[in-house]
Amino acid sequence: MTRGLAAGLDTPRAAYLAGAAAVLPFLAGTVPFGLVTGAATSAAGLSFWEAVAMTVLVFAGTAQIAALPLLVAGAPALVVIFTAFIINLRFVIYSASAAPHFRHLSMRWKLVLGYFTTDTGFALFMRKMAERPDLPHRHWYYLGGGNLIALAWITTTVAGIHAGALVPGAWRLEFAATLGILALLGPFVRGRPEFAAAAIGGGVALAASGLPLKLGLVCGAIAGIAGGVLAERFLPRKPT
Amino acid sequence: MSNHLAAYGWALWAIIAGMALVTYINRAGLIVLSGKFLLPPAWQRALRFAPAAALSAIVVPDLFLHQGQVDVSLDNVRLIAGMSGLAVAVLTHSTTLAIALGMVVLHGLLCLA
Repeated sequence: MTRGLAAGLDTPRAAYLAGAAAVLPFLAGTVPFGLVTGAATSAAGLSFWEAVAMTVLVFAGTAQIAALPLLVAGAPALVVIFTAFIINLRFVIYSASAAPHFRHLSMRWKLVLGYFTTDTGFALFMRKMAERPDLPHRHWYYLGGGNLIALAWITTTVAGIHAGALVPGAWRLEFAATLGILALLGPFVRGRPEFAAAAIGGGVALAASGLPLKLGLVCGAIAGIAGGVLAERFLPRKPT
Repeated sequence: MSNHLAAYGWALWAIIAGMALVTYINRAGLIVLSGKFLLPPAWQRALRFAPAAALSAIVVPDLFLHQGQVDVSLDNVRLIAGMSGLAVAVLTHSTTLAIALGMVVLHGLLCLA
């Protein structure tokens, strides 16, 4: 039964290990980002168990780090939740693309695999599906990658939470969250429409920052999405 | 800046649960419903803009507002540190380097001020 990687991906175990192996090079990015996210989470003032619950249950670094300045500012609960929803709307696209490959699975498998939808995991899975569209144990491949990403994310954020709790407030570690958001914004701005979405989103949020309940953020996010759609429709494509 | 986080009390747990729920629905919803519901292509295109729009909407007011006013002067150390970090992120594609350099610039400017 266990013939290992050399035999291809024709056992669940081989597919699971191949999925995990494909993720390995990407951990170089996950590990430091997990440490920073954990440290920024405790610097923002969350208790150890609150921070652990957030990293295990939400399991989405961009949304976790984006929530921190909002929580420090005392934003209403619904605004914080709405922001996580908007930032993680990209997962809807991922799950829409992955879903046809999992149509044959039981509900239990689907519920489990759904949790492991991540930027890296999705990109690697779709690459594998393009290469081997008939891969029989594709759900094990997805699970192997997803498990390793989750393991790396949870252990490094928990290490960061511990380390962050020891850091003095004068280090202003909470600003690392803002810098993290800026650094994450970069890769999402791939072309003119994405640039328009970011510029309009930021501009409207700033102009509307006087609104109560952090509603300027909500207005900015919605205006930015609309701006991206309009820019894609009416701006000429940048020659690449 | 003062920290208002403590004022949430137990509500913070509800926020964490809410964030977890909406995130899980986004990432698992269409896999669970696979075959029964397909996302229209126009919606898929629009959703691509959500992260850029939302992240920018968080970070722009955070950097440009200084004591409640829009401040683009050299006194706004957070803006300068943020722009330095963004430049590093764009040039090196490294989140870690961007955060490290941004923190160095922030503390450098705070020492000079």
